[in-house]
Amino acid sequence: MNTPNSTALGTSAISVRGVSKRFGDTEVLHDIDLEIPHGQVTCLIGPSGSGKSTLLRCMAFLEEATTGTILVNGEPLGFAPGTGAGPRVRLPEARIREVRSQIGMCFQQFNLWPHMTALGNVSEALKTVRGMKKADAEQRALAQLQKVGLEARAGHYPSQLSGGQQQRVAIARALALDPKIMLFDEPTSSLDPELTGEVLNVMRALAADGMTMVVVSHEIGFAASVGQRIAFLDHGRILLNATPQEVFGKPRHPRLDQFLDTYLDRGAAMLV
Amino acid sequence: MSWKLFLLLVQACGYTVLISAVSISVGLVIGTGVSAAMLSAHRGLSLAGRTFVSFFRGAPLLVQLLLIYNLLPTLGLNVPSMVAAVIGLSLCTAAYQAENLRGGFASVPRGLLEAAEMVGLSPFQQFWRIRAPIALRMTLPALVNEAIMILKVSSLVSVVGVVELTRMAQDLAASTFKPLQLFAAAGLIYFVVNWLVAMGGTALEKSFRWGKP
Amino acid sequence: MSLDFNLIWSLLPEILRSAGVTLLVWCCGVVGAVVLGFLVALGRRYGPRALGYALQAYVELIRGTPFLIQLFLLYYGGPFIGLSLDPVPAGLLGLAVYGAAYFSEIFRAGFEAVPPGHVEAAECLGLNRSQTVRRILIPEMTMLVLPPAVNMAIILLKETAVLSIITVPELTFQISAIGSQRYAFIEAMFLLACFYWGLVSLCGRLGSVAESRLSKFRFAHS
Repeated sequence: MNTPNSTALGTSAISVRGVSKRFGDTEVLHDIDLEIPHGQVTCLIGPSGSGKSTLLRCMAFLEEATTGTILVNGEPLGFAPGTGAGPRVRLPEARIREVRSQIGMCFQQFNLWPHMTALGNVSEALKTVRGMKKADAEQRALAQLQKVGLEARAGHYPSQLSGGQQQRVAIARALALDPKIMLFDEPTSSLDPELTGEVLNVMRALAADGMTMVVVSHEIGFAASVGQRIAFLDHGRILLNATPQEVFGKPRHPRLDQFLDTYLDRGAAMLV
Repeated sequence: MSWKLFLLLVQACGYTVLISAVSISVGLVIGTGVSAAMLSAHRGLSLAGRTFVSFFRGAPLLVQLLLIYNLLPTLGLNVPSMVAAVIGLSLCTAAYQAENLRGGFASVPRGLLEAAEMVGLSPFQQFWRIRAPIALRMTLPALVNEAIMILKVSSLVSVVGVVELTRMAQDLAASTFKPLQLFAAAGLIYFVVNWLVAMGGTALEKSFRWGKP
Repeated sequence: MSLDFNLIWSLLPEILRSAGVTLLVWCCGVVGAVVLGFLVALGRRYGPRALGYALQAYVELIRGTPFLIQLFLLYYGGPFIGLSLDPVPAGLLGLAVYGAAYFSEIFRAGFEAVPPGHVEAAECLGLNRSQTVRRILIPEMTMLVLPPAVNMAIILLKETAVLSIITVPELTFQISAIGSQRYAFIEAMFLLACFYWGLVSLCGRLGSVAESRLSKFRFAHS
């Protein structure tokens, strides 16, 4: 079941068209078409191995799609749009970086740099990439840490922070660069259950501010309550792409029912 | 054993430490370059790096020293024997350090580099701001071990005429006919110096803790 | 630089003899070092405390001082305490004592890597110490210690070159002599370096093959 978005094609934040991804002999994504609307939270859900993380990483160009095109705010990311015939043209690195700079990413493993403090992590790109002076960069970084509630921990190293705190710093690090789109790759999957709340709250606040977000997550409760579009993936294909009410409302797609059965205790109980 | 003899040994030890320190430092610089070559995508460069490491770890240091000591003059480089010794030691330690660094670089989690990529750091910046510092920290214990190793094998430069601790002990043993005392004393001095370096290494590792308890 | 093959052919007997000395000293040295090192590790693990301290002192002294100094002590200092050795026996003994300190550390790590539960199970079943060591510890340890042990053996091969300094007639000694006599020292040294390089690479390769062949006997670790 696919109900059309309210936004017309071409004005999406991210446009995924005909994307397939192959690792050796295994095809992980099969001819994916997906439009990510502006200002909304799109959640990618599905069983392990369904390709949702791969799809997200293709959107970030951390994985290169084998075929297809990805547009970020109308601009091609990585490869020029195919003309059908002939090999794809890879865009120059500077162009790729330019287009990608509109995207911020948050990883399952946080990926904070261990040799820098929280402040150092958040201010690093401001100094190195944007060329800001140290004082300005750190001021901006501190403000960002304030937004996620961690300004008191600015001088701490990642090893001195809990998982939830590290992930919040990671979010601050991505936000410091003013991205238009935020991607989240299973942001709470590495956290102890009691720490997921603080991260989800930050994400909720971000969504309320109108940030365009794409979230791969097992937090079905979050997806149902905060998500505005839900895409359900299975074996590399999008089976469902609609609003939470349409996706989770009964009667449900049988595969989705099967999938939800295993996640009933993860907040999906509210849907029963 | 007289104080005078002991002091002569300690003085010569100064040269041992000097030669070792310079060799390790130069070796680290060369080793970083060789390590980068080994990791590069360029096939010729990586082969050259791997061959360098294989040769300087495969041939005995003594043979390397004899070779280089005699080779340099024929290349027009008439350097004092201490310089030749340092060159020989540096090349040898560079190979071992390149191998240590390679392991260190490989063990930097890929996710950290992906995060760097996503916030816009160029490959060059990723290498110098993220990969290298973390790799260096991870190879610190191996580096300290290498320093101790160089201090010990520096004894071989006595063969190419450098008057460091071993040579001094040899000369004094020959003139005083007291090899037992002199070599034992020299051994003791080596032992103490190595112990100090090990202590220093532990302290250095502590300062790179990055908040870990 | 010219490689006169006739000349090399005529020198071949001497070269081969000295290569034989290298291999002999190396093999005997490694065997001696392994046996002695194992005994030291056993002594530290099961022996009385005083012995443990003495052995620890031995290991740390050997590992903390240059091999050359140890050789000089043995060869030049030995006679003063009644130990007058010819170069080859001195070299062999020096190599074995040096290698034993390192092997003992390898075996010590190996002992500790065997899960204590396996040892406890053996003791509960009534095996005495000797049986535990022979039937449980050694087999389980073998896979674990093989890579560092092979590494150490290769290191000892390179250390045989140092024996030339106390006039052991091994390969480095012989080739240096030939090289300087024929005014072709650099070429001789280079060929010598390549020879060791080749031998070391070969041993490394064989070691990897042995490790992978034996890895099928790897015991499941909890």
